[in-house]
Amino acid sequence: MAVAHCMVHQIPASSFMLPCMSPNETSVIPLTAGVVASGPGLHGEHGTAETNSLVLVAEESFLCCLWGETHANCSLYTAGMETKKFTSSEISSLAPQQTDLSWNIQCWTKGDLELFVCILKLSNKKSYLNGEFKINLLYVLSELSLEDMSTGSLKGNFMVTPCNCNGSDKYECHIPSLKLNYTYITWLNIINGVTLLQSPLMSVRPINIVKPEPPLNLRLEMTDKGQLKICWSNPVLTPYPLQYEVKFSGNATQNAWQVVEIVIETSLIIGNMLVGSSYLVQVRCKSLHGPGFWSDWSTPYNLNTEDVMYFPPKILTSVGSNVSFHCLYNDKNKMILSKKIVWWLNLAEEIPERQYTLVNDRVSRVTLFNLSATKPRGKFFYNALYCCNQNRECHHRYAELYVVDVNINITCETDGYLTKMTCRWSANTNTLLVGSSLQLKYYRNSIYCSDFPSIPPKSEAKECHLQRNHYYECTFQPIFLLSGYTLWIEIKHQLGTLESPPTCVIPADVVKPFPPSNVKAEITKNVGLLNVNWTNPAFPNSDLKFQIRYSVNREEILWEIFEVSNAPTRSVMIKVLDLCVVYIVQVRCSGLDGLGYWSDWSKPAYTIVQDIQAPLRGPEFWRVINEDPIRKQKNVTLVWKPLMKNYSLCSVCGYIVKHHTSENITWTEYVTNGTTYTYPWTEDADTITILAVNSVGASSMNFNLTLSQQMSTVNIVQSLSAYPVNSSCVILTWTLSPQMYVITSFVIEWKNLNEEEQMKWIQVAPNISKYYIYDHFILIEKYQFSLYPISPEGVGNPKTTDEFIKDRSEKRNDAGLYVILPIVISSFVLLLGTLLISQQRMKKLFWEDVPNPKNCSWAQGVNFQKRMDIL
Amino acid sequence: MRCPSLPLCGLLWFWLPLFDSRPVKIDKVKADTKNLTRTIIARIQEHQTHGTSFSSMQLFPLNLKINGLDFIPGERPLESLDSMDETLQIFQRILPSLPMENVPVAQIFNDIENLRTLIQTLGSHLGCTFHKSSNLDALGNLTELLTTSPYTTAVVALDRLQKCLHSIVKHLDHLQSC
Repeated sequence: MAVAHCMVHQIPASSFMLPCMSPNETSVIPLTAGVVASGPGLHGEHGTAETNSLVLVAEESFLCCLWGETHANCSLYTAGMETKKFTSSEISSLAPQQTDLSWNIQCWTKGDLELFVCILKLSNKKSYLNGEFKINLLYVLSELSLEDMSTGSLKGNFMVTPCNCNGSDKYECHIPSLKLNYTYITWLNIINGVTLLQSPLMSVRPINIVKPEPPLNLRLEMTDKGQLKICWSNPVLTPYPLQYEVKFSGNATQNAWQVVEIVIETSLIIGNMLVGSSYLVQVRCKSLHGPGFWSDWSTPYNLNTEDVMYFPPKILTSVGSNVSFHCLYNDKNKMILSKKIVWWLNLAEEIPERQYTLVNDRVSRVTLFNLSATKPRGKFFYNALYCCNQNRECHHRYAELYVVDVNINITCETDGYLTKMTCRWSANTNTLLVGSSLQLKYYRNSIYCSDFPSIPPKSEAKECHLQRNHYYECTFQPIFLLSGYTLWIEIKHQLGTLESPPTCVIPADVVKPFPPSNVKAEITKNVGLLNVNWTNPAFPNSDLKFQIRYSVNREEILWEIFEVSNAPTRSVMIKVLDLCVVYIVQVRCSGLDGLGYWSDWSKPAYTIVQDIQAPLRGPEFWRVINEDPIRKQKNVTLVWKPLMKNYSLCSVCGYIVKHHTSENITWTEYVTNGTTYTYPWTEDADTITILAVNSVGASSMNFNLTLSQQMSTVNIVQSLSAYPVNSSCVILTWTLSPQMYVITSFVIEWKNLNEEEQMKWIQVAPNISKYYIYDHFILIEKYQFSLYPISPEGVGNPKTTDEFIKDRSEKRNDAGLYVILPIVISSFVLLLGTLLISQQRMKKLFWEDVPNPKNCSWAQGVNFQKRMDIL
Repeated sequence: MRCPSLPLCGLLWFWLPLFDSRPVKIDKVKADTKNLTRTIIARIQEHQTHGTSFSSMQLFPLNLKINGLDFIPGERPLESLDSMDETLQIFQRILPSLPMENVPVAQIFNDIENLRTLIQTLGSHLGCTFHKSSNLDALGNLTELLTTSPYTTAVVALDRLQKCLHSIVKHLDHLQSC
């Protein structure tokens, strides 16, 4: 059987009665039986039902009916939810005194759209119904309409919600988690002891009986034409448009309420006449088109407010904007004309009259242009704007102007996989108002950005997280690489919402690639260049440019940067000065077009020091000749200095000592360890060459030294003098005698004769006659200096000296004396002359001026020409 | 003749908002199209080298002929902007269903979305018309294939997408007309 064929009471009406009668009493009720068609009743205040049937009431059961204003609907059900009896009657035929029990019922959907509420209030009961009532609300919900539901679907599918006793004889039933557009079939089970009373079925769609929350935030605003209007805000969660009823009261008594108008806007222009009156305003709302109930009335708003009113009373705006305030000034019940109103800022600065607009006789408007950020003054984070009388009288009330700097810089970075874009921004909390909340909003263009990004009407919010560095970070993943993301920050405050200037970002333009990998560095053999090669990151696929930074690997690293932009490339050769040191090398990359960021530096690569070329030259060497008087043999010890790395390139694994005698005999010796080599001098003349050897080869440019018995007796150096400069430097000068030999170089030997220290030597150029020897000299000790002339024919006889010549420094001291002494004498003469001249001048002044009787009272009358004998 | 008929002009007007009143240099669009295509290829290659499912195997290009997956395009070279758009549209339908881990399917989907917009921008510059893909209805048995042979379907789809992308790069090098 279809539910519609049963007696189903339609809700609305929201308010109805449930009377129940014992069978005896019911049997006398002139009811008519028949099929009842449930009336739609959706647009009416109350549901209706029609019937002509006669009812036979079971004796063992109560009959419960639902009473509207005109009809009563009764029904009786079996346990299987089959309609056993149903009846309808004119309400007039049922006298209230015939009922054993009567409930007033009121049902509605709460404004939060979550809860269906029914209130049952016991209006009367017979004395034999004693004790407490236990009431349950049973319901079945269905997507189907009432006509499509069957009673079978009710069986076993119902849910039960108990009704709680809420005060004496008042019960409240709730159905939570409503589905607004479903059909709810409900009925009540009332248990009194062992007696079960059951209501007829009721059907309702919660959306049809919504009782919204009352409108909020009633306030006065002003139109551009200076007219006052009462405004309000919609209650939250209204699923449909609303209509509003506004009522005014002349005084506080409830009876004096007068409905003025039903409006569909959230404001009503009231003009300026009511301002300052004792009127109260209230607003209520209900669905504009569908069924539903009026909300409760809002909290009253008193129009009898302040003496001076600002519209708006507070403004929150951003730097650089223009704002306007309106003022209505009622001074001691006397309206100040708008032309007599002047505006002041912070009680300190009068706003120029050119910024005023006379909106009408009573309303003055001031406009402030190109605002700068409000500087907090103590606890005041706003500028106070005063509307004053022309006679410089101001009311203590003021309007508040909050100007916030909303220039928030948003920077974005796309990761190396090109799948994630992270945007960062920081808000200067010092410039933001307390209680502000910030949110990143964005809009995505299909591709690219517009030239002038603007905030579109539709946008999405992005969740951002505050980082330790006080930056907010928001992540887009996955991304549209070539779409333009327009981003801005929305700053919400209870005073209003501000938006930072929008910026547009294309993820492909802000890529920070991964650094190149597999970086390898080496100094190339023979060529001697720093060769760096690497593997490019997988993304991006566009051309890249690279920076290579390199430095000698030491404690204090001084990077040098080399940039390669002729992509595609994966290696580079760099000219470096020092080839025999370890270099540390790193590479990074960026888009060739200059957009985006440099990658991080790659992991460092290190060069290995290895032989690049054969040594550039052999070592400088010298000989020490020791005579063995017993054997009558001379032993020659060759000594040389280790080859520096810039000549060895980069190591020396040994030396070759090459002999070439005057008899044209040549032989070589290989020295692997040390820098000395001793051999007996048997030949008259022996030319020695020492070659440095590394893994690449032997040096090609080498020094030669000829040892000749004959040449060792030739005196080429005529004189040799040593002048100590200080403990670290000695000057050696020499003169040469006229000679026939070509000098290729000199060798200077020196040693401390008081200590058993090794002889030191140095090779110097042939074209000089003075040399500064830098060493640690103890000037009180004795040193021996020898100068050997070297020529292709051999080493000549040395000139030796073992004394320091000190004249040079003494002479220098004398020279100082010669300069200083004349200066001292001249100064003395000049001083003496000055004293004499001063004395003469003082004498002249004293004896010429003082005795003048005209200038001195005591001298008047005294004849200084005449001699006076005092005694 | 850029506007041979009124409907064609209407179509061009339809694509005009794509530019958002910004004069887009067609060379840049072309370069971006090629770069984005190469990026998608690299994403598929990355999957091949780093994916757990197919690690240490050289999958692409497939050297086997797989029967029963004719509705997945990529067997024939793409020779017009319209066919590129149509083919990419089919892959956009297939990709979200592929059972692949460690493949940035959502990212490749977005890339293809961008790529289609770029191709349509190039097409509008050349006065081309674009059609809705006619093969979309033939994807009916995709669900069934993904149930019976998910691995084959996934590998073949990626392989053919890659072939299509190579074909697009090749075509863009000599792009003169639709």
